[in-house]
Amino acid sequence: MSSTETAALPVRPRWHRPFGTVALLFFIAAQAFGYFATAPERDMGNLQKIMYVHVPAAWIAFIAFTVVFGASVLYLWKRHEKYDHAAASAAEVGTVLTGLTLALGSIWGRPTWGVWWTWDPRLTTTAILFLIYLSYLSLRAFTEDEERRARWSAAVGILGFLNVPIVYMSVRWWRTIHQVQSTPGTVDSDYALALRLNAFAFLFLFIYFVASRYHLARLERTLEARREEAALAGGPIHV
Amino acid sequence: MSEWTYVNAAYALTWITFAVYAVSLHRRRRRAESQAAEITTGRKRS
Repeated sequence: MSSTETAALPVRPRWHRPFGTVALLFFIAAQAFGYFATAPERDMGNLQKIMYVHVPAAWIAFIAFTVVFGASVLYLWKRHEKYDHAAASAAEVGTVLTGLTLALGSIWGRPTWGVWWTWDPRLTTTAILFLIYLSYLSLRAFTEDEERRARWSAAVGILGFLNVPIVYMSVRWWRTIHQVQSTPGTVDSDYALALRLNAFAFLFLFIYFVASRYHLARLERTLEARREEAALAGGPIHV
Repeated sequence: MSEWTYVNAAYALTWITFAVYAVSLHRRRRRAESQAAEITTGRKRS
């Protein structure tokens, strides 16, 4: 194969950069609304404002792991690498969001419960979820064979998702100090609006990050292909 | 510590996390692009 036949570098989709700009502006506006425009809550005071970052991070992490689950099933069914890329991308962003959820919950828990951490069922199952997806990312990092990496990751992505409904239902199944899920009927409309705005802001950033990570996964795959081509052609590999 | 200290810490952590992750993605992308280009250039030279 000649050098002119080298695998072409994937190009970022045209919508990606403007979408990122809009997502960032929406995020700034939603954060400003939650931070400046909402009144202190009767019991929690201004600590209520932490809910506008903690709750959206948790919600979007759940969405991320649902994407991992769906893409993993599709990979095992279709065996197309784009599903593996999608699962890996959503898993990485979901892990970041879960870590953020735990840290924000800890910041809220210290002044509210008096402790940074307690082995409450909701906190414990969320920490397990975080460790499962850290393991998923470690598995990917340490498995060189592409097909085996994708297959094993898909298995972990599917099995790991079983913990998501357990995390969600933990506040109902067990006695816990973590409150049960709020609904628009149980919170003031100002708080519901701030929550919704920030949930969409986090969702838009999530889409942007997953698209960026997906593009990176395709780039890395192309890089691997070029290394293989260079090795087969006997040329130097500058990496 | 006042309740505002915790609120500010939570918002700062959120922004820093997203900023660090965005920069990390950007740097990994640039590194992959430059490595892919180096392989191609190296092959053309040889």
